[in-house]
Amino acid sequence: MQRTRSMYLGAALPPRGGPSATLQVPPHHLVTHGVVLGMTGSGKTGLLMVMVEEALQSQVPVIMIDVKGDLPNLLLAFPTLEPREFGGWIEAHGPPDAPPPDDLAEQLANERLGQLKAWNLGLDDLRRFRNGTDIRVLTPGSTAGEPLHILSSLERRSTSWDTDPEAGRAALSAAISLVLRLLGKDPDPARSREHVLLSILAERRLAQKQPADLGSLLDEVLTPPIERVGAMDVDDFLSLKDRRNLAAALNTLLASPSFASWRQGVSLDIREWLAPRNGRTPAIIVSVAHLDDDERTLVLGVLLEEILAYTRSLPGSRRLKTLVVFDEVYGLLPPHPANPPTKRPTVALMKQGRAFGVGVVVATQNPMDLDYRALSNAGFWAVGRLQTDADRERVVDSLANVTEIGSSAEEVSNLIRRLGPRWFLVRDVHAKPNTALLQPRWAMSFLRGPMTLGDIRRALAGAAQGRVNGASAGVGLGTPGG
Amino acid sequence: MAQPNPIAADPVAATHPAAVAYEQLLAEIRAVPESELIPINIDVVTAVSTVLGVLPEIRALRPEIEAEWRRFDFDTFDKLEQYTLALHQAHALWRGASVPKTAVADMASELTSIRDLLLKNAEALATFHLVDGERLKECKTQPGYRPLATDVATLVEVIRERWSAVEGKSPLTLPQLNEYAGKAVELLTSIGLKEQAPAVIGDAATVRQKAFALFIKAYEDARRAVLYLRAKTGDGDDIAPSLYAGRTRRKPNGDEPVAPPPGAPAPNGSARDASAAPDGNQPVQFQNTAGLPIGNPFTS
Repeated sequence: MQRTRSMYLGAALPPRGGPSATLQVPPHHLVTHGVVLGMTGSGKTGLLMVMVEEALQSQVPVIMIDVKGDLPNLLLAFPTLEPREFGGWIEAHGPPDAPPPDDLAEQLANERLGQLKAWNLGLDDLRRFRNGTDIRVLTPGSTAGEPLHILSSLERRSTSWDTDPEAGRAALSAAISLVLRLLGKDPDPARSREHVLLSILAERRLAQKQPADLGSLLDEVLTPPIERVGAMDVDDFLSLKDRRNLAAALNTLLASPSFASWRQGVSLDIREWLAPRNGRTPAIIVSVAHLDDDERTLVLGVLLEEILAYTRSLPGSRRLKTLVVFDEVYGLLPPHPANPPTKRPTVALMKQGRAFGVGVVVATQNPMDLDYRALSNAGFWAVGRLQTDADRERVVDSLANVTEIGSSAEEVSNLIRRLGPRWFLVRDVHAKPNTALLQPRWAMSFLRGPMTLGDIRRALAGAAQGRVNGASAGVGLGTPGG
Repeated sequence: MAQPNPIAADPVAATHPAAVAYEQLLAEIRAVPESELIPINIDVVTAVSTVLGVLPEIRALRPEIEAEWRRFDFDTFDKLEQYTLALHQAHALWRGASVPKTAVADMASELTSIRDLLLKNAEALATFHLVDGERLKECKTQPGYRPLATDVATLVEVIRERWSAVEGKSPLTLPQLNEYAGKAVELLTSIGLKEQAPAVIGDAATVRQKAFALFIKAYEDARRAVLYLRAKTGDGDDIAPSLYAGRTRRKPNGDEPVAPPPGAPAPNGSARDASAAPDGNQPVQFQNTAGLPIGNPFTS
């Protein structure tokens, strides 16, 4: 199906003055990736949600990596604006001296109706959006949403081993790093002997078309089917005592009820995730806000390797086929020499994804902590208010020489410095003119702020019970994969 | 949790200028609020070396800066060297605290090679009375990691304190000496802290980041003053270069307005091109012809 619908992001103004217009961005402009920068309160999350909503309405599946907890607000795109739909979400939204919840709900519903109408959106648009979108929330290590079998690349043989062994190996390495992290051991594949041994044993099994589940690996750790690791005997590489310790730790992990939550649920099958169900465009939210920093980095490392492997399996395309969105990329794509497990696959996605129609949008409120070389080819930049001069200086050089307002870094810096809340300086290299000031439209999703696991559970339950008035839920609880 | 300072126990390392600056500024560093922290995305050792290298030229402009702006923050300007040295020390302490146990032996091995290199150079320089040969006799007299780190710190100081005489006569460079001194501190720290709880590593990271915030603010303020002062000669970027690698050097000319540093009055008579891009002093007109609910995009 030909997708010609442009993404309506909001109102645009020329930086040097002039008339306003709506900003309509063709989806394929995001094949060359996007960067959204802005301090807390700049409107960055709102802009991201608008981009997600518009991509979905253009029938582009979206994978959302939810680090801060805001992206599940997509579940709160109520298809009608009945006050009762805002029921359980009001107390988190209203100030302490607000009117009673029922009055506030009505006030809020009326406000949203008015604002959306001002942005030329109506109830039909809301219904069309929710009816056309299949939202799933995956929660690794938790049953609040759909649990995710984050070790499925280890325990269920992926077809990528037949088509792209390199991708399979990278995904395997990331999964083993996660296991070692959970064991409290060094997860670094370059340093850890345990990692090397497990990788060799797992890959050997996978090459023989056998699964490399932890139970099988445990036996082989104790009694390796190999004699040498590299140039050393296996007992010299990792002594029997150390292998026994590793096996004991693996066994404890296998027996642990909390570990079970990492090994159940939906498989890491990106192709299955992105296949439309009942004609609806998939919106996959992988929520990792509840994980600690190390777990989050390792889990996302595993996920991103799978997304990369999926991307490489696609035929070439200039159309935007999939959009991957990060709501906060701080710590995941840091400058050299930091190299967390998320960096390699993210950099690879940003280099290679465009050839296969996979676009990546990264957002952050910390512009100092980005690998700008990785972002240097991003075609779409949206820069909101930034906190410090150092932040602005870091961003300005990336923008100054490619905007039509001239090559003056000072001009770009002045524009950014003076931006009001919810205004962005946008550069789209595919557009003419390629620079504009943007105020994003109101999101159809109710942006009530970061959602906890309990909120996610409640939002999914509410939608599943059909509290959404007069429309199908548009929310798929999915069937736990196997 | 305050980080125990193994350097204080070492008489040589404790008198290292970076250690002294660090101790003097530690209370100020710890007082930096979280809201002012800046993520560190530049190589700290390179930044420290750069600033120490350009400091004499920046200081030489102090009278001109004072003549131009009475309200300039000279407290921060005058402490730039201290902030730089304190950051150097905080960085080394953090590196040392982050070293896993298994890497200590590797660090010591590397530092042994460095010590031997420094000693050979210092002995050759001492032959020509360019450095104090007496202090070299203290080196390589005891085994162990701590004496090794002390030897390196001593040798760096022996060469650095006579740098004006040594420069050009030795293949060593100042950035190298700074780096070697930092590695000695890292080894001392990792020895002293290898049994400590992970909270110590967290504290070292926080102190480092706060020291970086003070350093960057002081240098940026000084750099802005230099750039403004030297706008017409166009050599501001050479005197006070940007610390962010990969930047294209901007050469301001007389027609391009350069923003004055904070607290400075707007200069009179600076050239303004009538068709210049929007800046803080020129109003820009917008028309909301699309009828969308938007206001002014600018706050000023």
